[in-house]
Amino acid sequence: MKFFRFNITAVLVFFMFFPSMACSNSPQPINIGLILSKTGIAALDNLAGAKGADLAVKEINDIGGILGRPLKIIEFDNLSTPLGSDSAAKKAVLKGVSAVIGPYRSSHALSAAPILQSACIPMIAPTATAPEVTLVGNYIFRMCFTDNFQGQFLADFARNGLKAQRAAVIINAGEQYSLTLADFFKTGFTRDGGEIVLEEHYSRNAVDFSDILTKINKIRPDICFIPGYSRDSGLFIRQSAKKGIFLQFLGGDAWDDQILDYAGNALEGAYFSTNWHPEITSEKNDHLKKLYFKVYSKTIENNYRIPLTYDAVHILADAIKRSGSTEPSKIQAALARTSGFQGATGTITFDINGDPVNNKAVIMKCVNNKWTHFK
Amino acid sequence: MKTKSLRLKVNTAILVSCVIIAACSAAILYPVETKRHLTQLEQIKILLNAVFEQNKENIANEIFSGQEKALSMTLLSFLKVNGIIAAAAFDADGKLIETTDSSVLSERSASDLDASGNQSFFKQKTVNNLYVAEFGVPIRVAGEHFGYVKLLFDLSNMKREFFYSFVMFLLMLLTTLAAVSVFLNLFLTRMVTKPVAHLRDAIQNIQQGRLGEQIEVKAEDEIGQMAIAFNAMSQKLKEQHLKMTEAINDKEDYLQEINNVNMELAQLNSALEDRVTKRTMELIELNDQLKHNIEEIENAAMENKGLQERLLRSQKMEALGLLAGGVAHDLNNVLSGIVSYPDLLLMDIPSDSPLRKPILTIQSSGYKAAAIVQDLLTLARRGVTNLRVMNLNTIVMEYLNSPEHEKLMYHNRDIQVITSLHPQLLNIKGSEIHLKKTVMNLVSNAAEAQPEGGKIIISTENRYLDVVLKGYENVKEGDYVVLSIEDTGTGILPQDLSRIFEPFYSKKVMGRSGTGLGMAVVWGTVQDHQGYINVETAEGKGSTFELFLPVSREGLTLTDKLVQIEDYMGKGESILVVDDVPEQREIASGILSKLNYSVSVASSGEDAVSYLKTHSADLIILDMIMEPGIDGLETYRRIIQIHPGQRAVIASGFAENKRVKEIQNLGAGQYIRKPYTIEKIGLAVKKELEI
Repeated sequence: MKFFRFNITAVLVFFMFFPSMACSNSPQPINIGLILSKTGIAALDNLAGAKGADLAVKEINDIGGILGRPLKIIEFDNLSTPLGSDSAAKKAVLKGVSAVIGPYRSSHALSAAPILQSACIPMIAPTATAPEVTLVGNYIFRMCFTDNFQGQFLADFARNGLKAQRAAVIINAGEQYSLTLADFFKTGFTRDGGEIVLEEHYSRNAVDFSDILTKINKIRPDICFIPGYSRDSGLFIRQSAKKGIFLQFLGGDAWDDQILDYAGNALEGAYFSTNWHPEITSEKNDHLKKLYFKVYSKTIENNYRIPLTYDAVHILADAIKRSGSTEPSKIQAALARTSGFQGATGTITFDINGDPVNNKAVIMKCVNNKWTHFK
Repeated sequence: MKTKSLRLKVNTAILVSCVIIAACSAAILYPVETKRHLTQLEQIKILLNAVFEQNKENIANEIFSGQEKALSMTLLSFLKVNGIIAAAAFDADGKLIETTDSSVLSERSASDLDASGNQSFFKQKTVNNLYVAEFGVPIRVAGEHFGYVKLLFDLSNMKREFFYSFVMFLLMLLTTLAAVSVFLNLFLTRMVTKPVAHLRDAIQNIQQGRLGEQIEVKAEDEIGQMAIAFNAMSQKLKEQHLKMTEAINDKEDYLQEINNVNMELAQLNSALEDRVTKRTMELIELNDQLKHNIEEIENAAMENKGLQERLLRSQKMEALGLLAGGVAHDLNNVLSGIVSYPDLLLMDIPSDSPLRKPILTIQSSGYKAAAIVQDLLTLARRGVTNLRVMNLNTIVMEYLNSPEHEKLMYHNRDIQVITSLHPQLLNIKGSEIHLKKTVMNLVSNAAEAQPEGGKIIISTENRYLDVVLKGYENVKEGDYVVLSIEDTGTGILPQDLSRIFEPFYSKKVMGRSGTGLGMAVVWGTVQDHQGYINVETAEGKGSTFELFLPVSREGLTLTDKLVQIEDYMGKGESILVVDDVPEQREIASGILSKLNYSVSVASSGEDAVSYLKTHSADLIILDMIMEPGIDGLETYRRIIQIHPGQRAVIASGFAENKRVKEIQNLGAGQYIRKPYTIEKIGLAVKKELEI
């Protein structure tokens, strides 16, 4: 018994000393915060998008890291809520990260941005399209296009491409993205001569859309624009089909492969706009697809968060390399000067706000229950 | 009329029962209903809280990120819950953010919500004529306070339900009561009231004389049984009535017979009364007798107790007396010489001899000493030798005229002696010298009891006691001469009273009045006279001594005539003096020789007997006690065997006793007491020889 206890003590002592010795030999990693929804309503698509960060970090660390130090991603869960994002940002600040990637949703980004701005820690939001996000301050950057661009883009597509005259807009009232995009679409659509015949809101957690569907059934618009996420949009479309209401559905960049599961077969012929698509062929995109396949042994899914996150990590790494420091202020300065960066989603140059210049979007169409590049 | 009355009572009973049941039901149901109401409210509160909790996080996020549209929708979603009619959200400062119905929920009064954001509330109130429950709860997420949510829950349904259930209960109760009342009424009418009415009618018929009335039996219950019993009774009544009529006819015969029997009975009764009266009388007599007996027994017991006390006292005196007597006997012998020799000497010396006066003085002293010895012997109660009939007045008067009294009065000049002597005082039989001494002692004591002066009242009277006088002693019934000596002195203390008669029990200073034997002599004297003493005393007021002496009916003893010495002179008769004491022999033989007797002496009984075997004597003077030889009695016994009828005079220092009596019974003559005097011995010898 006594011997046994001695053994345990010995082992404990060994473990107490050995790791610190090992650490002192290897270089200190550069901590990068990743704020994402690991739990809650947005967890499914967020976790998928986070793979992009993993891939990038692996790639960078495989070639020796940056400044001789490996990158380390520290994940902060925002519980899929603005409040969660707020506290996740605070935790990241406390943790002393050099920069933050995320959060994904606009509402989350809008909560995290003021915290990080005031802490002077650079934040790169991969997919937050609400224009207000980068307006928070000079430390806030984004990888995607903004909703004023996308709204106009989709309005033009609906009016001109699909020749729609009467449009219904179904809005997720709990998401800033949805509200903002809807606003821009409406503005663009009416400006283009179209008419908004119905505007309905649903809650963030909504699962039953029968009330809205009853109304929409009476109006029968030419097009039904749903600037929502895959889950709620998918459920809406499925319930619509179930009620025998077949409409021309149009979505924003928040749609991804997962909507196919939520909507069932009812999505056939629907369109949505996005930053990226796997079918886009470029040197970097091909590289990402190969990398993805290599790591996960499957083809990359249609989730724009993956390449945008992947690109964000690389841009951040690039900025660190260029600044030659892990000091957040220096990283911010380098990030602001990012220009002509070649990423999987294209060439990226940040404007004065931290938004990418040269916004461009693609239209995807559901054909045979599969997203195909339409335009 | 009676039917109505019974019915009324039954109905009243039913009604009262129903009311009690209703009251009980209400009393049971009311708290249950109230509890149910409260439970419902509690459930509503729980429901509202649950609904809020479900949406709390959303609301918090919506307020946080300013999503008013989403907040409005969330609030609207509350309304989907059945009963919630309005919902509103307020920010942390209590400012309204969103409301679903601004008419009922738009502002937050200061008292409603807790400024600290910790307390929820739940209350009932009326808004726009709607009875609602208002639920207010702070929104707190992750420790941060974002604002408040208020929910209004419509309670009108519940209220209505409560009202309905009350009405329902009332209706059911009334219906039930009505049904029960009607049913019971019908039932009782059919089963009780009607049959009872039938029974009553039948009874009335019997009352009117229609015996044998029968009623129909409809049921087998108590009333049915009553009807059966009634029928039987009615039938029996009829039969009995018939029998009675028959019996009345036979009545006259019986009546005569009964009268006869009554007469006999009256006679017997009167005889019995007589016997009882007689018997009662007897019993009363017996009872009286029994009472008398009991009284006697009680008296005897009392007397016995008194006797015992007296015996104890007497024994004590006896013992003391015996002591004194013992001393006296020896003294007496010693004194013999002093008393006797002067007589002899005086015979021999001429009358003008100068020795004559001293010798007479010696003789006088001897007599006085003898008197003292007699005093002592009095205590021994053996001293009363010569009792004679006398009058107590004489004794008193003699004392009052005595030098002793004069001497006493001389010493106590402030004392006045008053005498009250009964002129026809009866005689007593007693010893003059003792009685005189007794009077002297009592008066002397009385004088000493009042040193400051006072009165001594000496009185005599005849007194006859027909009952026992319970005083100092118990004085037996009889004729008494009472001598009473009363003083006005200090009295006797209670603790001393029982002991005043004891020898030497004296409180006085020794010397003036003698030896402490005074009262003992009084006691001894009275005892010797078969009398009693009664003492009454009160402290500070004085004492009264009463002597009860039995009356004597004998005539007064004549004063001894003066005997001249010539009268005792013998004629040469032979006398044998038997005495163990040489001086006594000498005195006796001397006196007797002087008196012309031929004297022989014997020093013991045995000598006397042997002397008389060869000689004879006309008279023997025989001493009683002759230690260590045979005593006088035994000597005389032997002598009379030789000389039957031998004359003898008995001499002894002691008073007469049993043995003296015995010897006198054997034939011996007079008893003389030592010390001898020439008169005593001469007279006795002469008397004996002359018989």
